[in-house]
Amino acid sequence: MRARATLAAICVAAVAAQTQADTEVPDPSDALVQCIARGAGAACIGEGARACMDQMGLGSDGICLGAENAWWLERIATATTAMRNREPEAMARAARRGMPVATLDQVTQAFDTYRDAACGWRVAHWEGMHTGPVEMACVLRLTAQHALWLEASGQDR
Amino acid sequence: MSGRGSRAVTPALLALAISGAAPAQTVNFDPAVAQGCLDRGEAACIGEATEACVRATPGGASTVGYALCTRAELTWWDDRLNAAYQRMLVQARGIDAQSSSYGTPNRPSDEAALRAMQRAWIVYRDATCGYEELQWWGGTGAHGAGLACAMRLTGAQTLYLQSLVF
Repeated sequence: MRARATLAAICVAAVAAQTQADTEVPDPSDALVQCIARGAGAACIGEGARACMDQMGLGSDGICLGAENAWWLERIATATTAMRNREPEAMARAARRGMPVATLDQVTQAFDTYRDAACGWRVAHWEGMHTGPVEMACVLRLTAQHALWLEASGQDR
Repeated sequence: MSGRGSRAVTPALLALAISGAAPAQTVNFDPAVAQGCLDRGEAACIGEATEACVRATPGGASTVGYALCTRAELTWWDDRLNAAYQRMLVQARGIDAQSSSYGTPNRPSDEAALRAMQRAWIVYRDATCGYEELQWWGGTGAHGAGLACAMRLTGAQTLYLQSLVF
């Protein structure tokens, strides 16, 4: 267990608590699903939060960014499960060639470490006011990019 | 931006990038396309320079052509990443010096945090792109998949650092 909880865990917990207190948070799914269906890929990142903020108004950026982040985390979980099912075959191929390759768990751990370092560092630039949404925006961007990579990597082969 | 972990995790990718495993071939890579993406600051346009290169290069749509164009864009982003990182280092040292002169208590070092973040990014890139290449292993597209992964992540990291330079 790390001495410091991961940024993602903090953000998810904060969103969950806020969501319980305020059931009116718009679901970001529609905007994101429509955007991804258009093939816009990385350009879709933030679309769900923007739609949410348009409805909720000023001061909703943190909760809306968190809601979209939760949506991408679900996609990561789904894509990871699918890739994990194929991992033994892929690792066997690597072993036959004597090729040292990171496992999916190692990729996940590397992503978590990078996200925490990148977003924690970014917050240091914003010490004082408004650090929550800045941190959440960073976490959302990296989480979504990682989700898109996982989904693309699991397809088209 | 290379890292010490690269060779261990993505040997095939580096073999193509460094030794020129593919036959000698000239590609028509236009830096202006990549620069346009950098200027827009949008991750979605990373890779557009590769696509333009493939279209502009005779035989560019072949596996080798695609890999060479991807490598050209990867090299372009890697140079920009190094430049942005150096600017960030200077900026971080200035922030640390300023905090020190103000006597800000318990403020973590900006430079140390920047270096830690970049080390973590290199580990993430190597693990991710090594895994990506493995998904294609045994096929002719494996090298290109690893290169494309590295190019995309390098571009995204460049945009991120670039956005924080002031």
